[in-house]
Formats: sequence, structure tokens, C-alpha cells
Amino acid sequence: MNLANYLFERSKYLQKDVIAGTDEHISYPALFEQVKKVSYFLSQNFKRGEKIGILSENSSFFIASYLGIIKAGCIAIPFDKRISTDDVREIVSICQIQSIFAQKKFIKRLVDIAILNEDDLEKICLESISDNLLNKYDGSGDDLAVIVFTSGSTRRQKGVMLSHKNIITNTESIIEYLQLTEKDRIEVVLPFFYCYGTSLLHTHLRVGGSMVLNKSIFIGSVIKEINEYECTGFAGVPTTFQILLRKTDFIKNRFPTLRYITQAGGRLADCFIEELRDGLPTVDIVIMYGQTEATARLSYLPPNMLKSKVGSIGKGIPGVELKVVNKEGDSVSQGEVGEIIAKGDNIMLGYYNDAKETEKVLKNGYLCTGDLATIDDDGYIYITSREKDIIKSAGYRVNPKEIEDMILSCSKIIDCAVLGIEDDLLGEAIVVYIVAKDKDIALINEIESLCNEKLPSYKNPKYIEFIDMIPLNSSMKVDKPTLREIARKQFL
Amino acid sequence: MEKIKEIFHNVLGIDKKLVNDNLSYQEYEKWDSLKHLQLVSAMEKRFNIELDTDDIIAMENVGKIREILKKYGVQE
Repeated sequence: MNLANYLFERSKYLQKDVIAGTDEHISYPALFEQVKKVSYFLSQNFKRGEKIGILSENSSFFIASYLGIIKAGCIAIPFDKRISTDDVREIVSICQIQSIFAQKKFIKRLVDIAILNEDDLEKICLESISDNLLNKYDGSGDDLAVIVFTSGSTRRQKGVMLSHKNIITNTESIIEYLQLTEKDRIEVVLPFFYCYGTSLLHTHLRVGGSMVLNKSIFIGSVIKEINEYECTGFAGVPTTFQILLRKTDFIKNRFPTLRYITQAGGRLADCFIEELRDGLPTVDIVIMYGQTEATARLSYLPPNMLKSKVGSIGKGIPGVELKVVNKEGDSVSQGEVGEIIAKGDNIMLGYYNDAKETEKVLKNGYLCTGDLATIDDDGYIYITSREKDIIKSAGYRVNPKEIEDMILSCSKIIDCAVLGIEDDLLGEAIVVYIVAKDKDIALINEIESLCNEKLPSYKNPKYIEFIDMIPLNSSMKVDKPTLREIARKQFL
Repeated sequence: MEKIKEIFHNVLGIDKKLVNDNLSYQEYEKWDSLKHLQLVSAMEKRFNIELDTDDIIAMENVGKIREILKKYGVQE
């Protein structure tokens, strides 16, 4: 089934707003009409399977373009709105994209490509078409629907190819375990070009729910919006919650309509999870784990297990088999560290035009995630680190997460990142970057003492520095290559 | 205004001459949510104040920032 048809199957005639909130309102029938018209326009002017870009912030423009492309049987390529001109050029050339739906505010960054902006979309939507002229393409579920470019932990961009079936399967699973219904309304701060953000769009369209698109410059604005628009759900990445917990009075507020909060996109340190859990006792806190290569979601921890299994990413979501295996490919014994591998209909088709990278991660029907973990007696998985992030200091393997967690337990710290850089004596020296309200040298001394006291010498940082913000990549995870470059310039 | 211009120059790399009351995050691409937090931290440090959540949200342009800072007794 075509993804767009699936998403609107039950919701297209609902007489309610799909986007609610201050800036923008649009009803389900109006949005579906736009999607149909974009699809019709594209089927008249483009070949099926042609790749079309999108460069837009969260808006009805994004949704109408994205689903119009998909409904027409073309392939949607959403771009990170912070993308540089060079990266656009690279993706456009790799995928041979001829056209892009782009909001006017972004077109400065686009060269040598046909642009369809807000005015063009309006014109397309003014055309009247009869339903029998509409493209009835429903396709095969295995057809490619979307390519998502992710910079990942290596610099080169990789295009994750997702089929209609991949996305439909993952959407069904998420709806099931979050028990989403037509009554749900989510406060959206995550961008739709990012797989976690797109999963919010997919799930809410499918159940006939609604979305409030937060456009504010400061995340603290969600406190008012959740209550004003009676949202039932909120989703964020670690930095979302770290800022809310350290820079606002988030947990001092009451949220009568809020049913659940989800967190994914990297590990949120236990101290923050506990603050959320204890500060918002009537709200279900759902910790989740996933990768773009798995469409979005791979596991979740049921909220009632949050106390007994804090720090765990839970178990596989419905339809996903998760295993933790050692180098021989056997399931690990209790306490043994292995790699998380995953199987399910949500696993990507592969990386676009990159058989070599695809072979590295898709093996024997499993996605090798590159995340290292242990598994307890009850089958709950605990991520220890990413293999690529392990620091080799003085011949020892050091897990940056261990140091990060310890530093984050200090309440003056908003965020921190630990990484290794070349060092003549140690092989790799440990660098700590901290984000704090006050850049007080006494705080650095405090962290130094804490590390000295609690960690063996080979785990002690050589450099501790303040940074304004930890850089994030397009998957909203810590951009270690960029941070490493900053550290090299600063210390080498 | 000179101190504000300096903060904007340091955080956003913008030419001080371009910093005026109308400069807003919606018009100036480099002023994103991460940079906004850096601007807030820089102002809090420079003027030795702690800004309320509502004020941080309302700081949509330089004019509004100046109004808000006045409330905190800041001599820009």
C-alpha cells in the first residue's frame, strides 16, 4: 500500500484540525486535498520513482509536499533545514534531484535546481481536478518511498532508503505501544526531516490525532503550549529535557491533559529520567531507542518499568526482534557486552548507492546497530556505548558514557560530552566539554576533583572546557566529529 | 546598545552595524534556538541577571530584548 493512502485511509474526512495551534490551522479534508493536488501535479510533470527534495520547517507546506511526492509514487528526500549549500549540492548530485519543494526563506542555499515554493504550492492547489484524473498509484509496499540523509558518526552522508512498508510497519508498532488514538494531540518540537519527528507526523495522521507545531525560539515555550492547546503527548531528545529541567521550571508545572512524554535520540542520563519520573507522577515517561536505519523506532521501556529498570532502553517494539550478540554472533550471557542487532519489516532497504556501507550493517537479515549493550535476566537491554565512541586511553577501553553520567549528576551542569583526541603519551586523551549556566573556573576544579576521587587515573580527563552548546548532528545526536575538530584546534 | 551589539557580534558573528531593533530571529537565519540559548547565557553573564522563561521566549528581536532588559534594570 502507498504510505500516503495508508496515513489518510481513515482520517481524510475527519472534520477537525490536523494542525492546531497559534500560527497555523489546517483541517484533515483541506490537507488531504492539498496532498491530492500536489500528487496530481507531480504525476503530470515527473516520472514515477523520480527523487524530489524538501527543504522546509515544520508546516502544512512540508506535509503537503512530502505526502504529495509519496502519493505520486515519487521519492521524497527531506533535507535538514540547517544544511549547507555544499551538502545540498552533494545530495542533489548523488541522487540526481531535479526539483525541490523549498520555503522561500531557504532558497538562498539552493543552486542549479528547480524550486517549488509556497506560491507554487498555492497555484498547484488552486487547480481544480476531478477525482477520476487522479493518480491511482497504490504501488507495492516494497517500493522506495523516502531517502533520509544522515551524517551519522562518520562525516560522509549516507542515504537511508525506506520503503512504504518500512514506514507503515513502524507506524503501526508505535501506535500500538503508545496506544495512540484520535483523541491524541502532540506538542511537536522535533523537525519532520528527522526520523523521530517524522514518526510523530505519521502516527498522528494515521490515528486522526492532531499536532501543535511549536515555532518558538525557546523550548521553554512548550510549558504554556501543552496546557493552552490541551496536548496529550510531548516528544523530545536528551537536550530537550536537559534544557527544560535546568533552564526552566518545567516539572514545577502541572499538565492536566498530558498523558505521556517520549524520549529518544540518544541516552538521557538516569538523573534526568528520575527527575522527570518523580516530578511528573501523573505522566507516563516512555524511554525509547531507535535508528534512522530502522525507520525510527526499535525498542521502548514500558513506563511502569521505569523505576525497576531505569537506564534500560527496554525491549523490542511489536514486530521487532532485538538481540544482543557477541563477536561470534551468539546471544550474550548476563553481564556480557555485545552488539544490538535487529530484525523486522521496519529495517531499511539499504544505503542509497552504497553497497559497501550497506553490507557492513545489514547482515543475515539483521541490522547491526553498532550500539553495545548488556541484557538482564528479564530480557531488558542496557546500552553501554557506541563502539565508535569508545576511547582508548593508556591501553584501556573507556566508555565516555560513564564519565558523562558522573559529571551530569552535578546539578550545575546542563549538558556534557566526553571524547578522545590523539595524545602522544596516552594514545587518546580524554576531553570533557561542559555546558553550564555559569562559566566559573571553580566548577571546572570541582569536576576535576570529582573525577580524581571517583575514577581510576586512565579515566581522568586531561582537558575540561566550557562550551556554549554541544553540537548536534541531523539525527539530533552529539556530533562527535565536529566536537573532535573543535578539541583538536583547541588542544593539539 | 553597544553591549548588546557586542554580544550579538560575539555569538552570531554578525557585523555590529547590522544589529538594530528590527533584527529578529525569524529574519536572521543564523539566530536559531541553540544560538538563542547562547545569547541568553551571554546576557545573563554580562548583566549579572537571571532571565525568566517567559522573557526568554519573548526575546524575538533586538527591540524586545532591550525592553526586557530594561525591566531587569540593565543599562545596555
